[in-house]
Amino acid sequence: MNTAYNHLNEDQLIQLIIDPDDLPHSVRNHLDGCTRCQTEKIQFEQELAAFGRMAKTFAPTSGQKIYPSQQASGRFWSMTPFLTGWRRPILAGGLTIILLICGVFSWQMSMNSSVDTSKMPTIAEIIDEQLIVTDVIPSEDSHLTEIIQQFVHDTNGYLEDEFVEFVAPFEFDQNSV
Amino acid sequence: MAKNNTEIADTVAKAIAGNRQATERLTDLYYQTVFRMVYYRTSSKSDAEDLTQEIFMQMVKYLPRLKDKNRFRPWLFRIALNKVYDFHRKKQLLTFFGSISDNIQDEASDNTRDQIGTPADELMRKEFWRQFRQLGDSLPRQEREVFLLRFADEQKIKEISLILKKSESTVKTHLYRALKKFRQNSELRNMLKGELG
Repeated sequence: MNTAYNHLNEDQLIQLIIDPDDLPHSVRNHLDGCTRCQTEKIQFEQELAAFGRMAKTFAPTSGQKIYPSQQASGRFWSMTPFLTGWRRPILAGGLTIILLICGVFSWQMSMNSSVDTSKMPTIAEIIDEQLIVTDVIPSEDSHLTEIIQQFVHDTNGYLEDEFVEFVAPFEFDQNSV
Repeated sequence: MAKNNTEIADTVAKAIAGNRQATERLTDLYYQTVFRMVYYRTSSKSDAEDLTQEIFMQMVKYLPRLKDKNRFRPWLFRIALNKVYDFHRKKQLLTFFGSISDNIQDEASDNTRDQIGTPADELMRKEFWRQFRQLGDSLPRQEREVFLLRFADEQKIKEISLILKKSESTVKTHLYRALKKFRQNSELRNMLKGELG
């Protein structure tokens, strides 16, 4: 009955390894009575078992095992082994004081700077003042204007006309009448 | 086995409720299994150790979200696989920017230093990992993953379908293709036959 026809082919052998229930009933019946096919199946299974066993044997073992609960609770403190017992609250207090001082200092700085800036002249004002100064400086350098200014400051307003009349007398033009 | 599964489910229920001892028991039970699983996919002991730590941290964090306590094992393996995929994505990015070199060969030989054995054993170990990587490289990602989960991590088809969130028929199809390629790998098969004697 076990002819070459009925022996399991490559595909059937693989399907047998994956799930024997997927094979037709006739193939399973053949397997029950065929020692050759059974041997082939066992050899294939042993090869795959050897693959898993060798992988397990040749894989290294993990040297360290830290429980996640320990890791989660002590992650920060494990980095600072010298900070144990009474040193921790002292460190925490010190850090708080430093933060407070920094906070107060920065707050004062910000208050001072806000008052000063309100009284400070704007850039536009500074530019205007500079322009005025530059206008004044050339007039001070000129000698002619200095003399005129002396006259202007020494006399009253109504003498200015007399002075002008003296310097440049008014000539009556008869032809213009 | 059924009793064992019930015990694990009870331990999981206690861990979900916040029992620290139950969490540590679960860590004890699965630590080496998860470590090996990660090692098969990273080929680096130090990376596998770091990733295993992170996986168990995530386990503790997300354990209250586990709906079915009977599905703890596939759930944990799913976390582990996601971590491994993240690791490979980051590694690819760093390799692309030249921050690290992708030198698995050196890493693998470095891992064997802490293993004690005869020179023949060492030779066998190196050859096995070379063949292991070669097989992995020859398979597409899904086929490789299904093959490793089934024969290296010893998961059942149903568990694999839960881990990968694929139907059982899809898992079987991938496994079929992977086994077909495995059958064609005469070098690896000869080595395995030699191991069987």
